[in-house]
Amino acid sequence: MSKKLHVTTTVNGEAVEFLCEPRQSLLEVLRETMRLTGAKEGCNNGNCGACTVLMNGVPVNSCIVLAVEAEGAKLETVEGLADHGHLHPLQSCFLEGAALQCGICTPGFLVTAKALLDRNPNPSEHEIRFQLANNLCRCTGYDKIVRAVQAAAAELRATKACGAGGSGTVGHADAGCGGPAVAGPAKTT
Amino acid sequence: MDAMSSGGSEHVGAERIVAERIDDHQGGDNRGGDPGGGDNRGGDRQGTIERRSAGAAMGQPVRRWDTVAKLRGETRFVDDLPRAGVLVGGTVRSPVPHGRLLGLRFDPAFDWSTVTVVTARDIPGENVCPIVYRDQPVLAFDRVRYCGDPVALIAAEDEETLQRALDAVAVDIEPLASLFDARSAELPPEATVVSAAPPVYGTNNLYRRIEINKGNASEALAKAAVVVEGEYETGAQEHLYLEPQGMQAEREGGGIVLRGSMQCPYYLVEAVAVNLGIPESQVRVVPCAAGGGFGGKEDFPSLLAGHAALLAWKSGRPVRMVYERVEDIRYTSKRHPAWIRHRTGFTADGRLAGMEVELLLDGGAYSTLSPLVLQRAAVHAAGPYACDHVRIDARVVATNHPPRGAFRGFGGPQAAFAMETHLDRCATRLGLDPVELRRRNLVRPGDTLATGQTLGADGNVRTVLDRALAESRFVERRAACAAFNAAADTRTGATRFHRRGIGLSCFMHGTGLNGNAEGFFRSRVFIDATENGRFRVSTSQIELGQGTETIVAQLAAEGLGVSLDGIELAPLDTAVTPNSGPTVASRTAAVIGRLLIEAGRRLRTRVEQFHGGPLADESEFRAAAARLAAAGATREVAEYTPPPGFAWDEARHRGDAYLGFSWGCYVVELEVDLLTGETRPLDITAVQDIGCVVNPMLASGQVEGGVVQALGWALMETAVWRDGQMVNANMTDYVIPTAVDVPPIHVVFLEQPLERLPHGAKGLGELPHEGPAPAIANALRHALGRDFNAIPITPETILASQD
Repeated sequence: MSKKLHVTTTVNGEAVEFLCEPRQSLLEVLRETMRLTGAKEGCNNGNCGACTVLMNGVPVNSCIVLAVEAEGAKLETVEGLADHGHLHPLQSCFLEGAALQCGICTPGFLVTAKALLDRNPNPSEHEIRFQLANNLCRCTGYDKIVRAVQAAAAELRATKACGAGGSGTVGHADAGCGGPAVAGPAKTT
Repeated sequence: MDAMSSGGSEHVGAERIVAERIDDHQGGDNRGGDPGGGDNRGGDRQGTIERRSAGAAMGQPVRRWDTVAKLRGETRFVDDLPRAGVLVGGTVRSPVPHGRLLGLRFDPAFDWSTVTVVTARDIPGENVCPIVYRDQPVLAFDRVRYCGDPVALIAAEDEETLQRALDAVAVDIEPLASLFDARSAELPPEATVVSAAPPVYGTNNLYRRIEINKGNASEALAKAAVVVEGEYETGAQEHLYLEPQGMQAEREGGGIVLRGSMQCPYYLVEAVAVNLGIPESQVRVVPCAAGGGFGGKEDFPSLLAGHAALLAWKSGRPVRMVYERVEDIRYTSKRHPAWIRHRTGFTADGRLAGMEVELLLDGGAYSTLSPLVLQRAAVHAAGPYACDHVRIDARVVATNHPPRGAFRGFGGPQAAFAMETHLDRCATRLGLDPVELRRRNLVRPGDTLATGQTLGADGNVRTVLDRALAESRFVERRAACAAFNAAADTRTGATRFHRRGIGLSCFMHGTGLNGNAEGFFRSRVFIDATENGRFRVSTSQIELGQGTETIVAQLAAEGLGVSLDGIELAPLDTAVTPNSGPTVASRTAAVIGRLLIEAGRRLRTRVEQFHGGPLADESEFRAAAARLAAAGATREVAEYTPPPGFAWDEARHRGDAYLGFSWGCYVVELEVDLLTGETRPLDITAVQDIGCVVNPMLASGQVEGGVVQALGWALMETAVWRDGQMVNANMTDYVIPTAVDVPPIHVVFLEQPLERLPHGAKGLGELPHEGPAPAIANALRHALGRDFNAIPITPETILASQD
């Protein structure tokens, strides 16, 4: 057993310190040491995206990131997405649109989509599909996921337009702009 | 909402048509802590699906019940259970595909006192994994039959120790000649064993042969005006559920408890009791959330549960076995590869005169569910067509591949690929439009299928075909594809090398388990009234992602005539929840649905009798139910018995093969690039009759997911075998569709209710895997003018076909 290393990082807005072995993946530390089991191990090889977390706002496959690489980084996981019990618009749109089935890939899709919408509030369907292509889903066929991301983008834009929120997290029930919380997704053409 | 007008339902004659894109969602979530609020009864939604009884939630696109916890990352799958004090288990496997097991050598340099080792000698009960035939040992003891056959188990305190221990075991094997080609696997009955290798199974490597005879096919073919022959082949497919197999076992009192990912908790009860030599009452199974199954968690968890239980039994400690992805892909089951030969005779005007189908499946090294997969493949082999003279001869044989097993469709997709690809070739030979050829031959109500099963009023498959043609604008798009191809030389740039095609398939899927199997399971469900005025529903149906929890609640609410917020689901635990049979065979909505409706209706009657009269108002009804609950036990039990008139002759394969059939017609339009060989689906229309749509939002999710899984099977998913081992056993080299590989999928449901069930539901989950592959092969044929009789049709296949 190698000497453990000390790592200081931020996880979902909270300062966190942990000890890890040099060989340990970020996924292992998140799941085993911090007991944040939202990110899943689907392949442990960087292929399926079930372990995706955001590292300084960028989606990474945490199974192929070493835990020591998290030193000084800002990490976001699915557990940090909801704000005090209020689902993030992505979560509420996934809920309303049945954009999940078994749920193993869902945490990875949610944070990947969040990174996209943080960067690009109005992505095209192609951009959404391209961004999500690193996350595999074997249940849904992706259509409902893409629509949920479109709906969440619309909701976030609407919220921003009327000056509410600003943190990127809005309550699912307080659709302050009027209109439904979930816009009817446009039909794919 | 504008979206509503593109969705909703419409009434056409006697059938109800429910289109996709229903975008207003009502209903609650009694588990998730995020109650939907509002009125479950729907308001003024345009095109609301016709209610079958007042107050029920059936037919509504209610939210999934399991969603909020999954969205928060709070759902506990087996690998999310706390690790403290839990040993990790691993498997010592055969390094060769076939051989005599001489012994195991344990490296004395390793400290074996730090781990628990289980070999075949340590099994206190029977060394067998009981699925159908009981030919598979839990641990191989005299012979190994596939590369990866488990020979010993080890449990250690941590992964690192486990890996060192696994590396410190040498397996001594005298290799035997291996058998990989299913087509030459079956030995003639008189064969003496020429080579040193004994058969993989029994005396002749044949797991099962099924012959279905209707009329006299050979005579009919001899007289037919036109006879068309063809051979078709489909490959192995990996399930690739995103959560690998996983199980945790722990001694509890005098028995054992298992937690894990599975489709069939009561299969595990039997298997572990047999392995440990203890009564089934001493085995408790508490399923975790399951991260996808698709059939892959039907039979395999029985073996894995046996392994985990043996380690826990010997060590006295909880033991967890969660497979790494590579181990999962290499050593768990796959869809059966199939070779199917059709000889089909037609009259001069294109009507089916006689059909002969020979079907062969590679079952792999142990029989697992192969005898039943074969049965479904055989019954579906002649498709949804009316023909008086049919002969189907189907076999599944043993090879030294890892065992094949259940996979969504269960033999049906292989049969449908051959039938529907063949029919397009037949149409060309007959000089007929493929649509017209199908229209002339599809079954109607009153017709019989190959087993002699007579179709009821729901057997109108032409309606499904017609709707698919209309929704996809098939004729118009076909002309457009032809025009696109004709103009290829006038284009410049990359599109000069693009060709387009459109194809369709008609297919069916039998609802529930085959023949007498539903009667054998005698599935049971419970509904209890509670003192808080709700109704507690108990089944052993597993939520794999397909929406089981939600539709079970909806169906119970339908039977009781209450809204969804009156329903709670009992957590699944075989110590208390009844055996409602396996979560397989597209049976939950139909078979379990019937039981839930029956139990609900009976409980409603009891409450009303207790009250002394009818209770139209829901709150009064629930108050009376609460009073009844306070007064004593209120459990209603519904148990499955075959419906009146249902008759299946298992020995002759005659009669009612299934409760009924769902019907589908799928259309695929695609573009193929002659330079790269890539096939890009452009548009998919999926029309199906499933009798009764319990939840349109979840139902369309089943279709979309199934279509994409089948699209992968048809175009990209290639299992590469070398010396009996899958060499591309990882997600880099075994490629499945991503979000960019999927075209728009237009989903339409028709509802021709199955008369045998109170709600008319037919199966859905597996049906969508049957249609896409043949529609894709037919579309490629349309695009390129060449036959594609085998899948997967990869870019390499396309390029090779150009030479």
